[in-house]
Amino acid sequence: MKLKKSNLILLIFFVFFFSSISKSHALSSGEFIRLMTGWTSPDNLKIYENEEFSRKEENFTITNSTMPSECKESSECEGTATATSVSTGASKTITISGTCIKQDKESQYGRCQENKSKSVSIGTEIIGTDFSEEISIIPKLQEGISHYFQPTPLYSNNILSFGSHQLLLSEQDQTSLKIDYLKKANITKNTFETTGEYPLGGVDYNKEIDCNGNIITPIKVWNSLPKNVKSKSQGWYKIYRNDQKNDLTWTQNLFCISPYRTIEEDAFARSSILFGSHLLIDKESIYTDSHVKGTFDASLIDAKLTFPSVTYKKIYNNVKSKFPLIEYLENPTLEAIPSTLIKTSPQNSLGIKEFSAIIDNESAVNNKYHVIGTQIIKEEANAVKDQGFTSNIISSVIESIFKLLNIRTHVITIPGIAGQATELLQQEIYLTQVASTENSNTDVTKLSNSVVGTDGNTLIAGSGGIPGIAKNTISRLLACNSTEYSTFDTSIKDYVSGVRNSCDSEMSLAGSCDGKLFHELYGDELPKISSQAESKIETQIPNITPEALGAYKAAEEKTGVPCEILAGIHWIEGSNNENQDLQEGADLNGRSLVESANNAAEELEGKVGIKKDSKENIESVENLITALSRYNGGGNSNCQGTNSYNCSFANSSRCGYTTACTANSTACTCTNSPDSLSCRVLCQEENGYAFPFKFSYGGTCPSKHEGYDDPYATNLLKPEQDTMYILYRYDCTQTRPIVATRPGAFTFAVGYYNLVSK
Amino acid sequence: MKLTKKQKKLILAIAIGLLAALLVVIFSNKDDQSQPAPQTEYESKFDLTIESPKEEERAIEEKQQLQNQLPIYIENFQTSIGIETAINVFAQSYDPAHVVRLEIYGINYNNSQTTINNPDYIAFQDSVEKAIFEITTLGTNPKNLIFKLSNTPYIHQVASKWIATFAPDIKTE
Repeated sequence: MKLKKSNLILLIFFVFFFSSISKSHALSSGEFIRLMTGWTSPDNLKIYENEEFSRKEENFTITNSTMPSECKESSECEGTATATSVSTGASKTITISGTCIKQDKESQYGRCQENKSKSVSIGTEIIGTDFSEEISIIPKLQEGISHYFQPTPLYSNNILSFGSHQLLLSEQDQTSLKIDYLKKANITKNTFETTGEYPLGGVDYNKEIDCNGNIITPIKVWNSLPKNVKSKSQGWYKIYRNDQKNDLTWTQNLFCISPYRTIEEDAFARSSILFGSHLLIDKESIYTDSHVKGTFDASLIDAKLTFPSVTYKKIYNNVKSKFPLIEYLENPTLEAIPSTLIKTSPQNSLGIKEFSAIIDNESAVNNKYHVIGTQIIKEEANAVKDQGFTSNIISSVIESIFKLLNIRTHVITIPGIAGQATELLQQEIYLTQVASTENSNTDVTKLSNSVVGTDGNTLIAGSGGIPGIAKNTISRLLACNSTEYSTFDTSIKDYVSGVRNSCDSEMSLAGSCDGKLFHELYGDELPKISSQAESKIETQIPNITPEALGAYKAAEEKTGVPCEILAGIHWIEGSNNENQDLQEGADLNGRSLVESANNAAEELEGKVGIKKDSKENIESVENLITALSRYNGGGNSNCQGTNSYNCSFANSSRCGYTTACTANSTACTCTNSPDSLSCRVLCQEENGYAFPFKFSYGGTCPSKHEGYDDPYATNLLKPEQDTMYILYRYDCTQTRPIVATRPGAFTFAVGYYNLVSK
Repeated sequence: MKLTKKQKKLILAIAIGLLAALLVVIFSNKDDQSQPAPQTEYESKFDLTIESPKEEERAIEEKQQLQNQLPIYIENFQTSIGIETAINVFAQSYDPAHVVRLEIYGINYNNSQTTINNPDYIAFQDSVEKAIFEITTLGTNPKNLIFKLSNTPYIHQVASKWIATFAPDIKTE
């Protein structure tokens, strides 16, 4: 009997999983079997597409490349090409870039090697929040709550929105929320002890929390709070502040408490479900997304902060009318226990089907795995990629098998009760944002945290998502002693990238270009750049990753060279590719981009006599342009055009010092003993040191100052720099001038400043 | 679903195969980790070839004397050939400890010929001599220093060849 392909894969998966299960913390074998079989799809749930690999082509061919074959720098290796899907034959034009590979370090030129594209979206535009960068096959949890939590390296897959919610909360807000949380823990304890049932919206009151080496629990911290603080009666915050100054233990413990329920506490109130056909079983499998309950908590806070209380109540009641059970998500009272709710709630009420399951109370309280009825399981939320060695191995093996068999995966998210209620609550907030957003778009899929670019590789923030909201509504600050502290003007990207502009303003790790320093140094001298340059820069901006921006920003903080300038240098040297350095677009080879950016900034300052580690800046545009030109060697300065002429010996496109150079670009080298019959020598005999290919530079000559006529720094800056030429495509080898098409480094910096950071 | 014997055998075979693959993955990862990192292009580009450790040590000592007085930065230096240059003697934190930068701007190093007919060569010579004079004035012996003439490889290459023709005692990387 032949096995069906789908069954075969399932069996492979089973066997492999069981071989690893002894080391895995995720599921027991029994739970796994239940997970794999017998699932039914909950009724009446909205479905959002979350991840659709079938639209991302990993098998495609590239043809009609316009990338040049020869190059001097990686910046020359770019062009367009046609990507054609192997499976469907559909094609589209894509931009490609490459790295200039030189035979050895002495070579002045090399050949362009195309950078491999991971995947291309050839079909329909991807909608919704896409986490496909993290190709995790085994139960994958959506990180929808990310923006409510502290950024950590573990959750870097949605870096734009991670932690941004913290910007909305003052320390008093946060402390208040923590007290609410503890109060819920106390109510949960009473409910459980009274009824023997664990309530909907319960808080794991015995959860052990490591607080600076001391193990605390929510219930113990609650019991230690002063009476006035527990009830939040008038003056409670003063009491907190005073006791905090005196380092009283209860304030230290309160500091360690989360303002929202954590992942582990989503004991059974169905938050959200991941619905996947990717495991190829006949009945679709369902996984809980246990982050969402905390999101619900936080979205209530969002709404409270955003709207006047009357409006908030109206919104809340509207949501409650659709999702009656949300009342109990916040109130784990005696009425919120399963046996009562099953009797009192309509059976078709959203969420009740899951909720009506039999609860393993003991394990719920003890934070173990919970089997909810016979159909739904809550797995521990550690199935995110990079959470464990075993998980990673399993994912990698399964991924390989799927790739080998050309099986596509498709994961969609079905938000549960808290999830859908959250969506409604947030939508009200989003709508206030949308009205004031240039890119207003009421499409609900655009209202998620971040939107993915059509190439599937770019997360775009600000289309009405949380980052945009936070940026517009931030109005309060945290105290310096708070780990969440950040200064008022910290950008969302800074914040969620882990940057903390600390109280002494000495420290900032990453972020985006905020334009402050650039404006301070050059704001009064900035020209209006050409529309041609602006258009190219605008196209490039979405391609600059937060990591790259973070590196420029970190270097700005350390060296005083504005972030925008470093973005400009990196644009020329490595197309802002975070894997290429700022020196010459070479592979980072183990260095960090921050290190490369720091070195570039120091090098730039050094070029105009600024002492290293000094607090001096490059203070004028003139000096800056000079420094940029020197950074690249300055050889392409276009005022050489004044005396240029068509040398009768310069028959090919190259004029070097060796006779072989004319025919063979690899023979073009810097030499101090040139061949007597070489183009260069013959041309110099004919007309001295004039440039041997006639070209006409429309800018001012002699140059206004050093570097002003160098396309590396100023191409497309002003109308007179609209047509600048690259003269030396190889070191020491004059080449037929070609028009430089990329904005110069300074031009790019000005454009970036105008378009983004101003 | 009841499995036939054939299916069971197939599953067993696949299981063994997968476990073997897992072991390979695990051990190949370990092997990867144990291998030394390959020397990077970036590192090799800036590696200095020093003739003897003593020269390097002397260079570090000499540089320390000069360090606090850096940078020596002279703009608008008029050379005998009429080319205006800028002279810059400085140190960068990421350069090797024994290296001092000596950079001359305003020169077209693409004109790499070592001949008195080459104005860029002459302007370079005048500028370097001025720089050496300034260093000496500060009480430092430039012959004990090791200079890097640019972070741009071809400029350093051309400048090193030039400097060797008129100041052979000056060491470059």
